[in-house]
Amino acid sequence: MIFGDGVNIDFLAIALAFAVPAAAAAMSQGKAISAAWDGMARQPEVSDSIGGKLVIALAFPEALGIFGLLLAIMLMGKLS
Amino acid sequence: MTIFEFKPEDQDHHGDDHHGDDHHGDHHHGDHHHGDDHHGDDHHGDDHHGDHHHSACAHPEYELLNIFNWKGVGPKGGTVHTYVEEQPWMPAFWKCSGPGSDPMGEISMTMAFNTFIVSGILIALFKKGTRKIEFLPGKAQAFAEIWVDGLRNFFASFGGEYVATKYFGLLGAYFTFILSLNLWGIIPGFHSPTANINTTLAFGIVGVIASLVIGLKESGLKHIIDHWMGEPEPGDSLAKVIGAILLLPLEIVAQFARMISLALRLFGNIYGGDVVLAVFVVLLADIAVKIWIPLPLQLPVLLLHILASVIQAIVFTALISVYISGFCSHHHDEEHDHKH
Repeated sequence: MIFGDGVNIDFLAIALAFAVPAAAAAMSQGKAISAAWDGMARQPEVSDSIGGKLVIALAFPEALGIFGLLLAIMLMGKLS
Repeated sequence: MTIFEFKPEDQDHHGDDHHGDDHHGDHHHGDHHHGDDHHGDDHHGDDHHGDHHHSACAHPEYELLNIFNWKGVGPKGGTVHTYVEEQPWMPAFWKCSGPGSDPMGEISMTMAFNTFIVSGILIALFKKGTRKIEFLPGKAQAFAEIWVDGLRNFFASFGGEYVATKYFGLLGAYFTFILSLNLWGIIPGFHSPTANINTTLAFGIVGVIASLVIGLKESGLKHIIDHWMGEPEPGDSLAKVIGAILLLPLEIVAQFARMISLALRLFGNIYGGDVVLAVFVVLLADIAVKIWIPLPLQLPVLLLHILASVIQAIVFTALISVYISGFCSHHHDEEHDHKH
């Protein structure tokens, strides 16, 4: 959709396709990291085990953010 | 980098623009100064600004990012794409364009070529380290020992001691290969084969099928299906039996979802990293022509890309070891009981 000044708001879709999943992934990752570091501060002796599991757990929200990035790149190829 | 698709039809979407491009080509044919090339590029951007109102697809911001459409490269003043295509000394599989240059399209010769180089190097390295096992290890053997022992302890923290020791061949090979492929693209002139969906999809499919085969071997089909159905017992209520029957197709679909999510996670991270690196390099070039000082703007992004490469290799392997240990939970519990 193109407005009078030649502004194409289709590009808003690209921005949102990346921004919304990135924001959601960042929020959920922040929750996981804060909980894990709380646990590490309480019990430093298990921090190795928690850290390893944290990396796996962070991969799932990260993947959703990355899907958004892929979608944005694919949309960019389609629209331009 | 193969990250931007080259679309010839984008080059001349309408007559006015085409005329402008021709003019620039002539302009660059006249003088061979590298600095002036960028002036031409600025003009190119302005041209697009001029007929912005007429065309939906002319966007100077995006045109600037599409490095393969930059004008004024080489003596003929073409684009990066045509310049690479015109090099007679370059073998076809070395060029980023042509069939298979789409990272989500068909299988690319460049990616296959890079994959074979990496696997050759890895085979040579580990062959050298393990050919003659000595009590006092040499450099290659010491590296192989540290690598294998460190990885085994690392996987033991995810999938348990049993899985990490028995299936170290699969997991260690996966980790080493994926890490090497991810970091391969950082070397100038080479491409990360994991920035192509075919490579990562193959990894995902092989990994999940391997975990299923290992599960069949370790605990049998009956136990796996029982596990998938939530381990129902004879005296269960009707609701639980219906739930168990509904769970089975869900779990079967979940296996395919695992393949796709493993593949897309790895692909997206490496490809996205490549794209962000390219964007920063172009941004850097844009700033460099204005202030005449090249700044290594992409360095922090490069560090982030290296970190992401390592983390994605870890995550891919850790997830497969978790899948395998999920199928071998029976064995793992027994071992746990024996210890105590």
